[in-house]
Amino acid sequence: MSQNQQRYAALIKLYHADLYRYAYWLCRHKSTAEDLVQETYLRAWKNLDSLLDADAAKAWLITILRRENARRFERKQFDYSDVEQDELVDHADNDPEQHAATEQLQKLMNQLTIEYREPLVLQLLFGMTGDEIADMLELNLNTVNTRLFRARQQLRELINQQQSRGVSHG
Amino acid sequence: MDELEIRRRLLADPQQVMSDLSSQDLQLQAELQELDKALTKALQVSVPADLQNRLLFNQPRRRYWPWALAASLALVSVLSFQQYEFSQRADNLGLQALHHVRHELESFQSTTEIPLDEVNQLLAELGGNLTTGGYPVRYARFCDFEGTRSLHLVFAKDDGLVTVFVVPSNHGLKRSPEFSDPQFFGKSQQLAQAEIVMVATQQQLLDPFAKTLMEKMQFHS
Repeated sequence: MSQNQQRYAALIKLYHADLYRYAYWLCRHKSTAEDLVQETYLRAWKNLDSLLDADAAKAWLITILRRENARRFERKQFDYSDVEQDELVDHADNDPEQHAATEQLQKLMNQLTIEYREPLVLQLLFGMTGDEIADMLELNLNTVNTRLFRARQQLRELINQQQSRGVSHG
Repeated sequence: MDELEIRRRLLADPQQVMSDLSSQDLQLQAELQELDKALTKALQVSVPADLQNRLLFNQPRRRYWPWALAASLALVSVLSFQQYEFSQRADNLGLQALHHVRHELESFQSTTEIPLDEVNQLLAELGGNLTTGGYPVRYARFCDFEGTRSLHLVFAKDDGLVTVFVVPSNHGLKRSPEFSDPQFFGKSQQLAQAEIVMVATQQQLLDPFAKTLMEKMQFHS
């Protein structure tokens, strides 16, 4: 295997799962997420020589994926209102109560608008710092922090609403 | 820092270390860290099991059609499928070879050697013959190279598998002396009676392999 093929295979092995998850939370659609990951890696293969620093690979792939996603919107305004929620929960979760809680959180995540959802996903899925998210989204750090703060604030409100509904309906 | 700013910072990043937090703030931080743990888990949606392989082999996603829609579109589908096939048709030897390798991945599964006389029975149909002392053959089957009946062989070299297509010279496809995709490298060698197309995952396998193969594979003139 050539050096480039080895690098390419390593990039797939290391990052494809998290890129798929990130793509899913961007577009909230499983098959679109798959297409996005596929297009991302094809473009990555064509431009592999421009990736000089292995440590930058993750951010480089995320950037490509975001551009591919933006391109889809340029081509056509997709309607993602029909969100695929079925069997979204990772099957590793066997406890039915935990399973239900995770599913509920996934639904709540999907209620956040993309401007709040995306920085939160970057922070939690990839462990990115505020500065890294700011670079990635081309925003200033204050804006990123405000969005992260509002994202969690909204999620807490949604959880509280649900819990109080749950109590009143017994 | 006022209370509002502390809350703001904790909600933006519950993992950050902050000094002099009140017990109320510590409680909030603990709650938010719990929430993050649950959220991180919720973000781990299941990844399609075959995604990694499809990325490695550069294969498109399988598309599933609802039956009702499929039925109502049956005629259109037949027509557009033909069109799709046409547009996907690889008109050169290299692309054809890669297409065959990707769609017959089971050709790499076999671990048993096929006796040379069995290989030669197939090869004889194309006017060829393999002499002893070459690499063992693990897969031998005829396949269709855009209408040209060709022989698909997999040889086990010590350091990796090499796929060979023996394509009769009247194939009508564009020649491609060298070709590659993210996973495979290939080259082809033109003989009077047939084109020998070789594909491997490691480029360095091809030249020594080709040299040995050309010594062992002969064609009747």
